[in-house]
Amino acid sequence: MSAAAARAGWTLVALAALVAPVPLGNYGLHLLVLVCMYVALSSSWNILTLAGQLTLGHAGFFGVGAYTSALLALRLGVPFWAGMGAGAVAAAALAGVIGLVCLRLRGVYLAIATLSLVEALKIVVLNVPDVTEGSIGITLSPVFAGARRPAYYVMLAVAALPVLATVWIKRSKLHVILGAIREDEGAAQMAGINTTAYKVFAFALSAAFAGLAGGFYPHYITYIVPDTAFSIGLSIEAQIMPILGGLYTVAGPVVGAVVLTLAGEYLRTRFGAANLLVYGVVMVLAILCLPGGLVGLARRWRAPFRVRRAEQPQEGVADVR
Amino acid sequence: MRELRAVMGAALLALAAMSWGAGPAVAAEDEIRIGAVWGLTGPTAGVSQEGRRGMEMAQELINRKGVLGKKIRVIFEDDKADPAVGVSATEKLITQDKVVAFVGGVGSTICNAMLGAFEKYNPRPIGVLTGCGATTIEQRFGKERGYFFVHPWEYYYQSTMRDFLLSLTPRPQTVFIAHEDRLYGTSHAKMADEYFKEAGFKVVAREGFKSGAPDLTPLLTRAKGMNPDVFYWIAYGADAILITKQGKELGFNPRLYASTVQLGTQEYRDAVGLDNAEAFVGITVWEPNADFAASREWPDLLPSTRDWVREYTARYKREPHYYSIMSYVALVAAAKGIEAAGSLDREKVVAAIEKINTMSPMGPLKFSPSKFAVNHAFKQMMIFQWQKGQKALLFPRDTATGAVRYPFPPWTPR
Repeated sequence: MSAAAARAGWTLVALAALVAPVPLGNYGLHLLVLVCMYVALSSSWNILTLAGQLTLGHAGFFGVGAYTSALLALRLGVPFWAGMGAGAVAAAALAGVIGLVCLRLRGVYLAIATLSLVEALKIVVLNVPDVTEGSIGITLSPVFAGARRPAYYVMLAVAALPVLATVWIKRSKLHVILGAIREDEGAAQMAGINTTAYKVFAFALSAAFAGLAGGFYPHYITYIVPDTAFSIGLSIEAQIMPILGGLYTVAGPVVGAVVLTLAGEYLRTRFGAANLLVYGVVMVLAILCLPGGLVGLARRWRAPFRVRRAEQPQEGVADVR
Repeated sequence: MRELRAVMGAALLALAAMSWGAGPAVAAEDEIRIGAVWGLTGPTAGVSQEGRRGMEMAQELINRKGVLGKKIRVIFEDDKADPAVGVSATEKLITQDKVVAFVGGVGSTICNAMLGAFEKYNPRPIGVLTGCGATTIEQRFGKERGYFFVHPWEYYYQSTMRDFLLSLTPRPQTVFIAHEDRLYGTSHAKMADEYFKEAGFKVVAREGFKSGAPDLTPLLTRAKGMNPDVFYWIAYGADAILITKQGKELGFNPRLYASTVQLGTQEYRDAVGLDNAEAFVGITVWEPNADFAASREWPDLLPSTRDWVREYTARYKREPHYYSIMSYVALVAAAKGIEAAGSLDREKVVAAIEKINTMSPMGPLKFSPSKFAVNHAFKQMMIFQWQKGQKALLFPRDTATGAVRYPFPPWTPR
């Protein structure tokens, strides 16, 4: 397919996203808002993996964004859009500080640090109730008086940003640099790349988008407590979605978020209390049978047999080249 | 381009998924649909299943005669204890299932999100709600006439405990308050601190701890050092077991050990043993050994406590939880309101529920104003004490089934 055809295709997807809410009621719109929220989380998490880094605490940045935005609204009456921006900045700043310390090292240090970060942030929020309202939580007025359609467009814009950022990275020399760091950090350093600076940049960018999504959440749900803002489950979902969709790709996190959010809701309504069991089995089978994710599966179907065989061992990094 | 195909495939899936809610097989006008959002999976699954059982039993009994010539159908939705999922469930029930009212539920976080989602509808759905105990909810949503709250607010727990402590002879002077550090424990502890001080008790400390912590000896050692008359804690079942066992190990022997409802489970008694549970005091919304008479108006649906417990135990082969009876009574109240209104007109149904004034197996069923809410029922809590493996009701006096064992007996010999 030509680049023009690809552009036309992406334009079609964008148009579909814009007109999707037209026939939907509040239930469908709410699901679309959740889909967009998870697209933002999974795509932003995926940005850091382009540099070969792993964070297990993405919910920490989501929560920082949520609390920054909620507290600004509660204490100073700051409108939600400004709070979202502040949430993104706060999350990026936190990631920058943590990254400067942890990303000088290789290996699993960042993963361990971010895993504990979520719990640490939760404890901090719980223990300064005079500032954060602690475990009582923060109640806010619903954004757009509870109307779902404008909320969807806001979340769609939030979801589009990390996707567009990934496209930008992939078209710039940053893609080559991050790929080099991921494949062999030592060699990248030998080539004169300041690997720490690039990793910190990717980490802060990734956190900023999570913070942005978090900044909208309390205004939409109208109530947050530390347990929901800093939920380990949210971190796990942010990781599983790109893995299922296809790591290191633009489309993978989007596909993963759409499929898993809607499949989760479908199973919840169809299987009652057994929904998590079915969801778990489907997830295990999908990860075992689709090492390149759903995007990898699409590639396999398209590729001639001999090419497919040749590509198989490098499926996870196929898109980097 | 292949990635694009995957995105388009996902988009098609999204569109297909949007159409899954084809709705129940029976038309909305042929039945009366009630929405029930419970955390059927996740951390509140145990209590939610208890609530679900209560509602299923009520549904079956109500449908023996029906309401306005139709069957009631409760549509259960799982909120997974996640507010965002709770909102999904709420929106589905309103827009696709066209429920007449919401009944049941557990957890103030979910309740807050759910009632937040109600706000944009005009008229707002009717709710006979069992899961909203936080006063933040009372303050935010209590003014809405169509919301009927049947879970006691936090302050009823603490005012009942305060009154019980005042009734003891000799009267205790000092109280150590320990609480788990999330919404439930912190909010209750703050309230208890306020109420106890107002009543003239000296609160020697108010300390938070992490629920589920493997060791609470530092907390208990500090408490023992302060030698309070009452050690009062607000936490969950596992914490109650640990506090009992470690309190014994440390020889911590205040004049009274008191806690909230989680102390009253059979699991607690079995985990610590009959001897160790002896003389521990707890607050409860309701106990199966309460003794309320049958309703004069609707004895078939609201029998005496004894008859209701017998029926429930025969059906489910287990002792009812207070959430079982609370959700049962809530559904009966909604059904009777609809019946008395003679239609599904919201204003008429709300007015009819407001007029209910009868006895129920949970106690007097009547909605009246609370501190901030317009319609609230079951304001009276009960104090129980473990005595020889059974829970004796001590307070209020008119529902008492035993006398208090006070002060707390030595750990050994027992």
